[in-house]
Amino acid sequence: MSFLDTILGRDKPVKSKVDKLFGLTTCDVTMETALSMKPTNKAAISFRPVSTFDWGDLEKEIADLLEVSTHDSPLTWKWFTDEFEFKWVILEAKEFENLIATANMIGDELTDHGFGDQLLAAIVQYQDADANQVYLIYNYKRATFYPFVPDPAKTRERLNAEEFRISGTLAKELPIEKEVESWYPLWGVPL
Amino acid sequence: MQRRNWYGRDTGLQIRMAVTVFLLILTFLVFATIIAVMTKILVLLIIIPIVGLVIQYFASDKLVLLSTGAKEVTPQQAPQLHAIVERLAQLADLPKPRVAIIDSGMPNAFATGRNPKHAVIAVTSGLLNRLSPAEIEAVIGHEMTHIRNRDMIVMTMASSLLAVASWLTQMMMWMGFWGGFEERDSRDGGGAATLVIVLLVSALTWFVSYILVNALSRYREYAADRGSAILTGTPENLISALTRISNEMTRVPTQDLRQAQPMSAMYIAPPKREYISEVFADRPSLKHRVGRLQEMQQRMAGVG
Repeated sequence: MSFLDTILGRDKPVKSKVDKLFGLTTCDVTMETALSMKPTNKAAISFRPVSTFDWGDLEKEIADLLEVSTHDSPLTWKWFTDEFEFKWVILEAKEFENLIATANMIGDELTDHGFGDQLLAAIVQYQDADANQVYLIYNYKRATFYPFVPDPAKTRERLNAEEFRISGTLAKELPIEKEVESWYPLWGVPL
Repeated sequence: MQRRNWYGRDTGLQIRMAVTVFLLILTFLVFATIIAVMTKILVLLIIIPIVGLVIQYFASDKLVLLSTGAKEVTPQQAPQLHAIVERLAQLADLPKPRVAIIDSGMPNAFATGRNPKHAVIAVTSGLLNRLSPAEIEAVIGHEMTHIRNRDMIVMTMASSLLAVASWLTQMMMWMGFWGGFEERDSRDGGGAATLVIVLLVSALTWFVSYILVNALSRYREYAADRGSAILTGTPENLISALTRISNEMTRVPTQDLRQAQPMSAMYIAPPKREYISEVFADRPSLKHRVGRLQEMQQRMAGVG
């Protein structure tokens, strides 16, 4: 944030970086070989809707786009609004690459409509050797990834050691978020 | 496809803020020049309130938390509030501020801390009890924008001139009362003349900077309202939060918050005070804030 922005009280949202999400497609080999974590081919994208905008049209446009892409590779999706009034598009694909490409496409579509800056995060689900859920979360504002491993035995607890193992292993391939304080959890995403 | 931003711009507000800052710096330069020409002893007198301000700035978060009785809470103690702060921090790309709760029935909130890394957002228990989650989020969005805009440092710097001028005016009156500068050229009354001029200059600077600092404070409130609307995408939530807070403010006595006078600049709603005109107020009126948010809402909906 520049000096002038400070003096004038900046009134722009922070820009989202939508295109870095593709980084995930190159690291799934490492995820599998080094960490024994397989993608479940489920992902979700969340954004903060703008109340004065008619989302019906945009939802329909996104649905049309998804409809087209299912011709190439099977894909299902659903909409979800969480308790904080953030909207989610939840995707399940047959192929991992198609999943990421589709997630990316939705980000582009929102950006085209001027709502790219409303994007909060993308979350991609993996499964470890013990069939526990492991997530990689993409922060659109910082264009970085971070792991999120909920403790299956407890509510709202995270397995930090496991998260550090993942971030350490992927650090060469993915831009990992360096500020651990920014590893915000996303609880209760119905993937 | 290039579309108009849904949140629009507020160029008028930015111009007014720039002019105000410019005038403040100008006032300061004129004031400092006159004081430096008139006397050298006074330079020393200027340093003392500035030191006070520096301390206030660096210790602001601790001082404010102490003076308001705010208690920091963990995510376990206030999961909902923490989650709201977390999401907005993420959207605003800011480090997550610390979260504190003040045990007070009056709904209110403020942000403090010298930079985003040291920021604290405090809300009263009254705010948590009486506002809906969406309204609380709007209020947090307002405070988050204060943090992002670094209003704490901007307003501290702006009010430092005000503090110096008011301190100097009082100092001069006190000196005049005790006989003025005797060591000076007292034979032809030069010492008394110096004193009177310095008194007049500081009083005038006090008055001018008072109006300018208050104007800047009001503009930054508008900017924070705007920031909240952009961050949450829902200006109407802030409108209903502000209206509700304001209604509560008129009913509940304000004595306990008035003692934290310098910090009222950071509150989302001021402890109730009556002003002759908005020129003398450090906070915009509810009517004007709601008006601006509604304008923004109309622009967003494409009808404005």
